[in-house]
Amino acid sequence: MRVYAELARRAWQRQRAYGNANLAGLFTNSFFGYIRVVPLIAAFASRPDISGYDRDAAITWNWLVQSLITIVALWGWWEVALTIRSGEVAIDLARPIHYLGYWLARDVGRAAYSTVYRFIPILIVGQLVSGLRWPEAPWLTWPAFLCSLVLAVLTSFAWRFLLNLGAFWLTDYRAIASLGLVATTFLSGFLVPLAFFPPVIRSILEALPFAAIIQTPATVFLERAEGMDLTLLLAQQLGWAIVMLGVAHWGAQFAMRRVTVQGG
Amino acid sequence: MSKPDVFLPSLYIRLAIARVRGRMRYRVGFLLMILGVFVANTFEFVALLVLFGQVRELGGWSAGEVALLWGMSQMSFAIAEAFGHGFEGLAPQVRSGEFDQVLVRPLPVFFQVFASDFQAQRIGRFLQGAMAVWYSRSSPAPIPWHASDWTILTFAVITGSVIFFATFVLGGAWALRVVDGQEFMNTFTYGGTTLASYPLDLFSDPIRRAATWILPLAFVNYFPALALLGRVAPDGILPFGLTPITLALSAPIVALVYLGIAVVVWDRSVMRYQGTGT
Repeated sequence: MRVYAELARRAWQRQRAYGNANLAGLFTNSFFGYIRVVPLIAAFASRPDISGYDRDAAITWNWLVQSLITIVALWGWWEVALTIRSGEVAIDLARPIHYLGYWLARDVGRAAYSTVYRFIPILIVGQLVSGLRWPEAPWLTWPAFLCSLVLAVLTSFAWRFLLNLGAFWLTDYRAIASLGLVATTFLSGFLVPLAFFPPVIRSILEALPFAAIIQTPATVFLERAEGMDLTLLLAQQLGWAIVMLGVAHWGAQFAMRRVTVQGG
Repeated sequence: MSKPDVFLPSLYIRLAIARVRGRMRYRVGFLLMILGVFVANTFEFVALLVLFGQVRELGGWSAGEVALLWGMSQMSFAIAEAFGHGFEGLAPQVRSGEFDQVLVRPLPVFFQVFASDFQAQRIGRFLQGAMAVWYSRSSPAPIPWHASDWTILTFAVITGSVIFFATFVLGGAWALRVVDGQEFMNTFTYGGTTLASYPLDLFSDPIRRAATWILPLAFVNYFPALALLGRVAPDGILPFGLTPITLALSAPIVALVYLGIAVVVWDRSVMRYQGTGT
């Protein structure tokens, strides 16, 4: 276990080396947060409530999803694909540690860094620019939200890892990248809250694993699920995290056998 | 620098064709990329329509009217990306020192960067923008096209692409000075096109002013769209109290002035370029 903790710590430190890029990213996220909150506020001029979201909840959703972008690497993460392309994957496979665990530990370190240096600053910006709806039951909601955030990272990691494995079969991963982007932005509740969709589509999207990446943490933070509903929501998210990680593990083994067949 | 003895426009065309041919060697990958960009953009547009499924208007703008702004912004941006990607991709070249080689070749630096990466695959975004414009003219009821509408639209899309292109040039100039600035520039390029996808009158005063006088996004689509839709703008948003039509027609001048400034800034950045020592 210690080796994984060390990998995570190293990944955190590696992020710290890109301090300037982080600052620029913070600026970009804040700017987009502003651009996207303005039409949303305008939407609430004609009615006080859209599918259970009031103005403050929608504003908070907007800034929250901006702050989650880097935590779940929404715009893509292709480190595994790059090692497959360069052949470095052979060295990674030769390490006496679990291959999926190796990448997961690094991703957790990366996500932890983003939580401290992106998530918190963006929420502060959101609070200053448009005022947020903070949890009314902080002692319950914050721990539940943190659990949900961890599960979101795990689910998104497994999904991104699977997309990366696509590089074993397709030489150019960029086409997979743009289709993957649709899944993680549109189907996840990043572009609009899933509650805004027509009822049938909404229930389908809420059942898919992509909701676990963005919508579920947002729902928990906004306290839109309480008591038994909250437990069920987190259980569903946990279920997706386990299933997706399982598929990623199986996919990795399948792909690695292919590498052996090719002779590396 | 002595005048190059090649005719630059024809050299550009040759390089661009070579680019496209090179891409077409992996035909499936190339077509998948166009499709990927198209699909990603379409879903972003659908997300907007989902919001409009819940409300009839945003600040007095209907779904069709916002779709017009959206489509014009996307079409202009797609053209600008296709021609301006060389400037966008400059940061890694500066970091690796590859850019230094550009400086020793006997061709203008601006031309070399401009010609280095023509991106035909951006047609995916262009088509999506065109579909949004088509939607805006057909929903909820079809609006007939007049010759003047076509003129305003064509002018606006070309003008808008010049404005976005100039922004890419400024971004390139920035990359020559600040090595780690790529994501910062994205705010103005991608952020610019996103901002322009919504009615400018929704935004606060400082943003409106900046989008009129500093980065002239209002000329990309907002003023032309007001003219096309025959909309009345809120007080104080039209510079000098000019009519939307006048502003739409003067947009090419604004775009050329802005491009001129961008080229001057670029040239000065090249003169001052110091490299990274790698």
